[in-house]
Amino acid sequence: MIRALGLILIWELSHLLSRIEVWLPLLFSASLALFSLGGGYRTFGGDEAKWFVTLGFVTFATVSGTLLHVFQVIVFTRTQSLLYWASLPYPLEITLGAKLTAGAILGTLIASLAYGLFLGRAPKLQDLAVLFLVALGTVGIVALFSAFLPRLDRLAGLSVVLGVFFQYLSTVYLPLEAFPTWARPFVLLNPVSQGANALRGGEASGLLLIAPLSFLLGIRVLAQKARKQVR
Amino acid sequence: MPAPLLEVLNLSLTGTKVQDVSFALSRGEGLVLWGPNGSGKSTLLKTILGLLPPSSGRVMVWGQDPYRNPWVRHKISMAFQERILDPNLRVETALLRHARLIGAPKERFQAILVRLKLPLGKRLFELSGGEHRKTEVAKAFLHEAALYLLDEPTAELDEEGRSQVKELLGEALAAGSSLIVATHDPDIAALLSKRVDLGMAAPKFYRGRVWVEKWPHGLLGELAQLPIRFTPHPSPETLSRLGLPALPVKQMIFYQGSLSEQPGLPNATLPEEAFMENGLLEVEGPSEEHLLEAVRLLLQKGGRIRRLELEGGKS
Repeated sequence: MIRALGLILIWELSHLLSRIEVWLPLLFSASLALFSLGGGYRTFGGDEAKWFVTLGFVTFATVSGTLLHVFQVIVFTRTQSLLYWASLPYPLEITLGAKLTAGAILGTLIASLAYGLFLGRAPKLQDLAVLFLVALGTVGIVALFSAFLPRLDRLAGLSVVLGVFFQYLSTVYLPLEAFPTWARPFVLLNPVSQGANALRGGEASGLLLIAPLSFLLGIRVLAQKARKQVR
Repeated sequence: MPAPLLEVLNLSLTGTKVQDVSFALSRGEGLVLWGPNGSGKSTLLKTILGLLPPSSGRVMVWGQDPYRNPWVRHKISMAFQERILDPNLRVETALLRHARLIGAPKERFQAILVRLKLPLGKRLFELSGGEHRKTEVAKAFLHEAALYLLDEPTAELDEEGRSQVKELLGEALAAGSSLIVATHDPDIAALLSKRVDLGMAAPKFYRGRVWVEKWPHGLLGELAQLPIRFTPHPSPETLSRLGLPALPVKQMIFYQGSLSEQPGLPNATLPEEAFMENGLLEVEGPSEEHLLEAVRLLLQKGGRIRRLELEGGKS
């Protein structure tokens, strides 16, 4: 099983890395956003505000890169068909899990590269681990929503819509207290908020629970949906 | 008795003509799925691969349900009708990536590329229908499987392509693999000893009986090139002289240069001389002309026959 996971992961990563036209603009956009947001927040709120938005935005950049790769590139667009992956001698959960993990790795790499450019040094390993967990958690949540879709290819559009919620219903730009009371539970449960809080020196225990759980559940739901679609 | 490689029991698939279908397949056996478009041949193949659950009945591969246990697919390989590989990849890259994923040895990958004369350097979206078909067949045969499921493997192929694919199928059978082929090609159907008819009359197979007096040495290889199947009936004296077991004759089918046995019999090899001296040969082929061609070859090579009977009483 581990060999199968590794083979598909490597296959997918090499495929993704060859798609420079996808990840290079993402890297450029994430870097530019970090520099402009960091500079802007510092102007209005000093260094504390600068680091608040920087650590929040790098978390979202990870999610944005991951979702774009996972649902628009890995799963559906211009690559082997779902039938191909389903026909491999591995459970579909493993195949899809490996493919989605590849997207999460790439999303983490893009965001941490942009973050490294902003910092002028390599990010800490524990920060990378947090970003990776956020990527897994959000990808799992989007996969869970596949249960409500008539066809899996609609996930590409859904991931864009959910990406907006991940970004704005989170503590990327604003602290929790700035949100109306009704929105706070969503903000708190959002893996992006949890990742941003962990990077800002807060607790990571919620993320450690939510990310693997939503990833595993999401894979299960996605695989069931994929099986139906193959029929 | 060893368990059959594949057992399909009272299988029904909703929306198809696959209704209460049962068959079993042992190692080295071939089966053709025969039926009109839309009868459910592809759906049946996908069900055997474990991609779809049966509506009723069951499919067991080595005693396991492939839908519930996808790991059993390690021994199965399928050529789909659909274009399922990344269309932007070159043929060799797409196949190499697949070979790596399934752990196929590089030698097998290189051999397949040469055998099927694939259009190397072309991207998959540039391929013609026939080239794509050959690529899909190549993908299936990268895997050294015990059971191959082939969906219309010769559709859109030219004569050369069809004969390359036929050769591959014959070799797979000779190597002890089993085949299930959905096809409308009578030549391919003639290679396979079993048939499942899904709502269309099975192709007409002509039968003949040849009483051989003298068999010319080396004829076997040439007969293997013809789309015919023959069942030898060696004389008991010959079998005893060669020290071979007297297998029930109906259970030995010889085609494409290999002996295929029915389930439950011990492995045995039958040398050419065993059935070629005062033996009887039952021949089947897609046309009368194919049977006569086999007899002509025998006579041209210096063989002698006592009697020839064709279906319908001609002799």
